[in-house]
Amino acid sequence: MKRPVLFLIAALALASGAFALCFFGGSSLCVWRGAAQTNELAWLQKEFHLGDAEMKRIAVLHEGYKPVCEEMCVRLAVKRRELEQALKGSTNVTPDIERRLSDVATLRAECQATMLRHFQEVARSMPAEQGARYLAEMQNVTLGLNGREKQMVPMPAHHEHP
Amino acid sequence: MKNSQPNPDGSSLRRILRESHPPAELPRRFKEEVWQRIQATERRMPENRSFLESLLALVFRPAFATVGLASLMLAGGFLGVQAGESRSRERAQARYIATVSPFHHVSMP
Repeated sequence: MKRPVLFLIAALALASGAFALCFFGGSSLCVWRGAAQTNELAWLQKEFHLGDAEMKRIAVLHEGYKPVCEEMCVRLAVKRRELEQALKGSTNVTPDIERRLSDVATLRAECQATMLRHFQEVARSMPAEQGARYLAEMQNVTLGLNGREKQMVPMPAHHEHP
Repeated sequence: MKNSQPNPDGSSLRRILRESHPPAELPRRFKEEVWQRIQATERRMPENRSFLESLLALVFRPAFATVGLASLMLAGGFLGVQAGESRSRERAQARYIATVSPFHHVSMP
């Protein structure tokens, strides 16, 4: 191979390496800084530009809601296990399975309503514009409005309550 | 009968022909100007370089290489920070949602 071609390849490799190093360095630094943040409400404060007073109110609401959420997790887990047991070995939808499906759906709706009420309370603790944005974002993410629902599986074993 | 005598008008014909084409006179400093033109052309194309060689000669000039590399590094760092911020924001949001939604199974890093 000609020497100029080798030089060109070496120059391109050096340039790509320098770019990649800086890209991944910058990216990792940001992710590492984000991961070092242990406060679960930090995202709220940053995303919605909230002041200390607003954050204090929201922290109180958040701490009050946590046990309610935990209880819902447990109830959902129980209902889910009951449904799984009823489904085991069955080849058709029995009245018992129908009842358990209905129980899960009812509890799910109850949890969603409780969650929505909490979101609305938190939104009211924010400036109006930010509150509206928070509520819309939470409804999108947790209820799947606008097709933005994240993985919505009642799996309390993995649900985190720090 | 063939006439073997030289044409008595031959010499005068040659003389007339010579006089009708006078020797061309070169302008003054003709040779010098020709060489100057050749040198000027050579200065414009110092070597018989290929496009690649010319490109490399440009790229490897210290100023160009330094500015180019610095620009690439800056662009890489800037884009990396943007991507990292976005990922970090998504993770922070997932962390918050995991604490308020009983439906969300979020795999945390």
